[in-house]
Amino acid sequence: MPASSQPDWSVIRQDFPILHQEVHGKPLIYFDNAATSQKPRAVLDALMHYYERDNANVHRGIHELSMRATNGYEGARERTANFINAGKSCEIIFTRGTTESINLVANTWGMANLKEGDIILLTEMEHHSNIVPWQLIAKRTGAKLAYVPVTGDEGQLDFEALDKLFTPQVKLFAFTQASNTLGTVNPAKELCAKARALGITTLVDAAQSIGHMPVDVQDIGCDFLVFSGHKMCGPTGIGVLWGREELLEKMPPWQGGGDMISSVDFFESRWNTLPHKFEAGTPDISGPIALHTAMDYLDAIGRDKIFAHDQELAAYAYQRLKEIPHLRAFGPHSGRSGLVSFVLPEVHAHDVVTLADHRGLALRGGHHCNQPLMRKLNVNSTARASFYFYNTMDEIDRMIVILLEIQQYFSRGS
Amino acid sequence: MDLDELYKEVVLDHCRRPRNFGEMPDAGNGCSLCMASASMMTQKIKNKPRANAESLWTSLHDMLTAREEPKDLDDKLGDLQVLVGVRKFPMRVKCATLPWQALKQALEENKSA
Repeated sequence: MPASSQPDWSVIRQDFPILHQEVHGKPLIYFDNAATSQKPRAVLDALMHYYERDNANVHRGIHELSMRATNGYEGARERTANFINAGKSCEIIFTRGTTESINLVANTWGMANLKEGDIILLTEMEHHSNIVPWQLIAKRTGAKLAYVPVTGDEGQLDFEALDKLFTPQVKLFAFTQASNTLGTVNPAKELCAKARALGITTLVDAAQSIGHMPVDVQDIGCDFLVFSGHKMCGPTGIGVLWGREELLEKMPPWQGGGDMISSVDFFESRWNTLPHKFEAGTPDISGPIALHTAMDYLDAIGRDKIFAHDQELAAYAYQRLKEIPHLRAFGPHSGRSGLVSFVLPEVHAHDVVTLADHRGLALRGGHHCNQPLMRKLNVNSTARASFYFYNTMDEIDRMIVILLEIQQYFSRGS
Repeated sequence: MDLDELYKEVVLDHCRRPRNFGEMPDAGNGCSLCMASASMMTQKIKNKPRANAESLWTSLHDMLTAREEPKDLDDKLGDLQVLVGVRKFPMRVKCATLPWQALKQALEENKSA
């Protein structure tokens, strides 16, 4: 499909076998894409093809299959560099996911660069995975954590507070490009420019943005960018850390083992060059290969078109949800990413999700790995509908009917 | 699976009007099953000897988590018997047992007292 034409979303939907089934006797409406996306046939085929034809270990064998596996694995690295416009493919480190990527940076860059009195600046809308690794490193280094506040239900960062928080003690600013709870899209480029001017190292959590909009590390101007494959049509278990070469070069290795060394003596070893220094042991090989296919798939549709479609779905959902009396919806009124979190009055999110499930609608209910933010918003949990390009306006209409039914069901006998 | 087995009227009633709310040390906010389970629990154990609470704890857990559904439910469970429907919703069993975890913790902490 030429990237210039308007995608036919209903045809694209046919690429996802899992969507065409009934759950509890009702057609499945999958609105839990912020947790994990579904996978198109092409990605499933890539996994199968690898294991049926090319499976071997990488970087060591001299035989044909090992060469194919190595080419597939390293080809995926080139493709990933190209996907995020990285300057060099050696700046791409494969990990298990966003969480492992952040832990890698915390344990290597963090241990080498943070000391007592330093400040790690985060935001109140971070996922636990961009909070807890820093808490662990803060304990070990004596550094302190600080948070950029979120302004109420609209869920924007408080930019005035941010300017005051950028003190000379801040060594790292780590923030999400798109919030998994609020749907806020942060101005990553502007934030990184401010940090860079003050010599603050930046890490961008792109878990929620990478499959939904064009992401260009050189344009953003960050120092590290992390994401997972499974939220962008790829398999689970594969993630990416991108870092500037000069930073990665100076960082000590994290895990030790095969592949990350150039020579090993009984008492000392020499580290391999980038990116292998950070990839100890046999890696997930099918993961990057299938992720390569997912990237091709997304680019064939066009990430700008996916983003525009996401925004249309979210804006429509937000507007229709507001029709439900007393429903409290979170996040910005416009310019949001493809999700809406809400609280249905008098019905706890877990009950909403159970009742919705029995009508074929898959939602997420809970704290969304954002417990501090939930406390700040003074809610114990929310229900969340998160969309991807294969979702439809009709599905949103059906969600509204289901939510009204749930409300009625819960008020019976009162 | 019938949702009405999960959301019985008495569950919704306890959820809307939790009994003894605020008298428990960790009065909180939860889903309907958690709230109803906690509310009924307080009615059963308030001003009762410790041994009653312990045996009620066991009966409730047998009802919700024993591999086989018990043929006869323990009479002393009373209204709590309505929660047997939760068995058919494995993802929600922990909602109903959560307040009982707090009870167990409280009993253990006060063992010496």
